[in-house]
This record gives sequence, structure tokens and C-alpha cells, in this order.
Amino acid sequence: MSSDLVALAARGLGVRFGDRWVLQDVDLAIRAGERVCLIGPNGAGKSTLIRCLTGIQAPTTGQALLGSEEVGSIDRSALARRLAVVPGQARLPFAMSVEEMVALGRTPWLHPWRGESAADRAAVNAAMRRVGIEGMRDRDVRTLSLGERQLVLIATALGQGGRILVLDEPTVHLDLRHQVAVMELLARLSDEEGLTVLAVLHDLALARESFPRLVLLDGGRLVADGAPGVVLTPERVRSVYGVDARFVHGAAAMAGA
Amino acid sequence: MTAQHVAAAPATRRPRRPIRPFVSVVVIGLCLLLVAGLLLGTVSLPLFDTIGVLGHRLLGLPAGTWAASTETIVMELRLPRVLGAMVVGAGLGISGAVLQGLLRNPLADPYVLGTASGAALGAAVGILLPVQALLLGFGITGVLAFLGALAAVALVVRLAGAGTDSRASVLLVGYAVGSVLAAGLALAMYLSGDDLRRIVAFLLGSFADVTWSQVAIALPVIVAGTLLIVSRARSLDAMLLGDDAAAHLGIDVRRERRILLALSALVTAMGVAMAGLIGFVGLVVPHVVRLVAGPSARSVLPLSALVGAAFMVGADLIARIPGELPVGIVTALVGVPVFLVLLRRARGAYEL
Repeated sequence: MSSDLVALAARGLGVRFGDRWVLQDVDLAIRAGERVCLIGPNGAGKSTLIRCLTGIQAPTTGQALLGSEEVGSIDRSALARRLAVVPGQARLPFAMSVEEMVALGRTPWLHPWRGESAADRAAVNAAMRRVGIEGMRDRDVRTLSLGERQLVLIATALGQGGRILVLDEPTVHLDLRHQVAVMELLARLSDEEGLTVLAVLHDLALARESFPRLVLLDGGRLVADGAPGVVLTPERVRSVYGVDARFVHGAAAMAGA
Repeated sequence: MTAQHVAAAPATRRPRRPIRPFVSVVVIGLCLLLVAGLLLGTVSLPLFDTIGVLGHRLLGLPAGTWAASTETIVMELRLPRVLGAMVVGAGLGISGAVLQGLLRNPLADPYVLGTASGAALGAAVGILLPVQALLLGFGITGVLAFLGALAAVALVVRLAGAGTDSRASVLLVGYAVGSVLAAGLALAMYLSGDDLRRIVAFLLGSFADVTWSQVAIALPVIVAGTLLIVSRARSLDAMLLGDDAAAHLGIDVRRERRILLALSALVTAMGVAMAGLIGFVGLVVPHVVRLVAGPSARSVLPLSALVGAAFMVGADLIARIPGELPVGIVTALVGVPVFLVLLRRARGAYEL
């Protein structure tokens, strides 16, 4: 693995809030085109790591890197053109159409006085097509189901035109069918288009099924990194989550601790 | 799952908003009100003479047979007055829209961050000082009102400090600073004796004393501030999705927030320096616009300026017909019932 292929990386990264370290000595390198899932119990530091890697939170120690550049040193709109984030919770306060929402993804490309160019409109259409929501373009975003809404948020992120997609719990509150739909979409984006995908998931079975590489955080430290079978051993699940787990045919059957 | 063939039911379609007819009505209304503002007042002027005066003085057309007093009234009194009302209305409308959006609070108005009390205290001090001075056409009252408004906002932003990220803390600090300044104003009023009437007049606002030299300063400042605010509408829209979501779309949220606060404070302070404190316009106009045009800042900001301008010219007209009422009384008496009717019609379909 040569370092110029690294899309996103943390190097000795630590974050302290007050006198509590929420992340410590995290080393992580995600190669371009890779699909990686960040897992770990509540409070493990997953969201904070995502916030560091996407330039919202400055690390206390170490570095968050986009390619070879420090994330915090990149201008916000330049960053938004290269890396898009699908937020866990987004307010959709407007009565706006799906198409208008996806067009917000063009924000980092737009000149304040000029409208959207033909290239912007083409990018918006392409983003909707890639996600398969062209049929919804005139829907009011507030009337969407949670699953549809998630697809629209992903299309908005794709409209930003970057090669890196970061998703914070993209399947939370979704039913099984929509969870699978989102996972299939992410697999297609990384396998067919070569996008780098980093997602936070809570559902270990879904993570195990859908991602070739898992990164497990616990108590602010990276405790395992690798293929699902290597990371999610019953012993480790017991020690990190405090529950006994068995993975049956790739699906998890959990018993209480 | 693919949603390729999801047919959108009519009820879930984005509502089509009648923005174009609305803009046409407001622009035509503004033009009619501007003309009416030149014709009507304590002395009513003939329409054709007024048009003749404008053509003569502004376009260099040959002079007609009108009375010299008509020319003086149109050019020296009414034209600066309607232009002043227009730009102050536009400035208050747009800065109300900015503050409601930034603070995500429907009760926010241009005066919410201490601007009103800062300006009022400045004006009261100016009125009480036994000094007369003129700076760029503004009396010491106007200059101190302008400085008081800006100083109050600067103080609020500074005290809120890192908490500028939190809407609640900005609002609370604004309220606290405003209260202290209001106490100062109350003290000034208590001590003012015969000048009390002038302080109260400032608090209620008026365009009766607007001069050309004031318009020459305020008009370019407010127009430029308004255009700069409109140019940042996309930032404000992105920020309505949440601060993190806006940052991920490439918006430097903290910087944009400060720029928008500064511009709206400047536009408000300029208006206050010229016409005193005129309430309700900055509160009500953006809501009326949202009821018609929806909440996207890209329509709300320019339309709030436009509707604010028309509303203020109209309010000033009503204020002077019975013989110079303070315009702030008219904006409340006329604006609030209209607003309540619109709000009732919207039946909960309204959101900030």
C-alpha cells in the first residue's frame, strides 16, 4: 500500500474534552476506493473520530489527513468538493423539492451571484440517477419516508462531486428492506465507481454482512481493524459490548449479557 | 430498492408558490406608493405638476408652469422622505429576515441583539448633550444612535464569545445587554425634563426630518448592505439544515454568521440614525414573505427587502395624512392586524 493511495487517515489522533480523552492514539488509514465501517459501543468515540476526519472537530493531538493534507488546513468549500458527509440527523425544515435538496449539494461549487450552471444541473441529475430517486424529484422532502429521506441525503452528498463519502449511522431508524437498500447502494458506489466509503453503524450483523473491513473503537481507542471475521470474534464482542454473541450464517443472534 | 417509478401523489408534491405574481404586485404597489408619497401630505400636489418637476429636475426636461412651492415640496421634502422610507423599510425587512433565520427564532427582529436600546440610549444622550454638531448630514442624535446600535451588537457578540455558536446564548446575552441599556435609557428619560418629548419621538420613529444629505449616505450603505446579504442567501439556507450540515456543504458557519450579523447591524443602525426606532416592520415583514414564498432564504431575503420598502413607504404615507403621526405607531396599528389575518389563513402550514 503506497501512501499516495490513502484517501483518509488518522495519525496518532487524540481528542480531549475538558480532562477526559474521548479518543487516544488512533491510527487509521483508509485507501481510495475502500469501504470501511466504524463500529463500537455508545461513547466509544466513533462520532468524534468522524468529526475529526471531516474537519468539524480539531484533534487535540495527532493529525486527521485527507490524502497527505491536514483536514483542518483545507478551506471549507474546497474540502466539501472532495469529501461529502451524510449527517446522522439533518433538519429538513423547508418545503422544498427533492431536486432542490439535492441541488444544495452544489453549494461548494456555486458563485454567490450566479445561478446553477448546466454542469451543476447535470451533476444533480446524475446524483439522483445514481441513487435511483429521479422519480421523486418533485416530491416535498418533508413528506418522504425515512428510507427515502436517507437516499435523498446520500444523493445530496454525491452531488457535491467528491470521491469520499462519510456516513454517520445511515441506517438508524430504517426497516430491514431500506437498510439493505442503503448498504447495496454503498457497495455499488465503492465497487463500481471507486468511491471511498466510511460509515458508522450500530448494527454489527449489518456491518459484518456489508463491509469488507471493520474498525472497532472502544473507550476512545482503536481495538481492532480488519476483515469482519477477524474483528468480530465472540470474545471481543463480549469484552467490548458486554454481551454474548453468536454469528449464525453471517447473521448475529444475540443473547443478553 | 429503487424508487424509479414512484409516482408522486399530488398531496406530497412541493407546493408551487405564487412568487412571480407576488413580486409583480409588490413592485407595482411600491411604485404607486412612491408616487402617492410625492403627491399626498399636508398639501396635496397635482399629479402632472409633480411628474413635470421630476422630469425637469431629474431628467433635464424643460420647466413647466408649476408653482415654485410645488418644486420645493417635491424635491426638498417629499422625494428624500419617500426614498428614506423606502431604504429604511428595505433594511429593516431584510435584517429581520436574517436574524430570524440565524437565530431560528420567529420573534427575532432587527433590534433583538441590543440594537434598539443601544440606539435609543445613544439618541437620548445626543438629545441631552448641550452640543449641536452635524456629521455627514446627520445631527448628533443620529450619529450617536448609529454608534449606539453598532456598539450594542459588538458588545453582544463579544460577550457571547465562543457561545456565538449557540443561538440561545446569543439571544440571552442580547436580552441582558438590551436590558442594561434600556435602564440607561430610562435614566436619561427620567433626567431629560423638557427634552423627554424628543426622546419619545425618536423611540416612535419618523421620516419628517429626512434630508438629501442623509439619503445620500444611507441609501448607498443600505442598498450595498442589502445586496451583500442577498449574496449570502445560500449560506443561510445551508445553515437552516443545521450547523454541521452547513459546514459539510462547505460553509464556514462561524464566519458567515458574523458577517451576516455585522451586515444586518449596519443596515439597521443606518436606518435608526435616519428615522429613529420603527418597530414591527422587521418582525412582521419576513413572516408575511415566508407565508407567501416559503422559507428558502434565496426568496425570503430579497422579498423581505422589497416588501419592507413598500410597507414603510405606505406606513409613512398613512402617518402624514392626519398630520404627522409617528410612523412606528402606524406600522404597529396597520402591520400587526394584517399579519394576524395572514397567519390565521396559513393555518399552521407555517414554519420558520
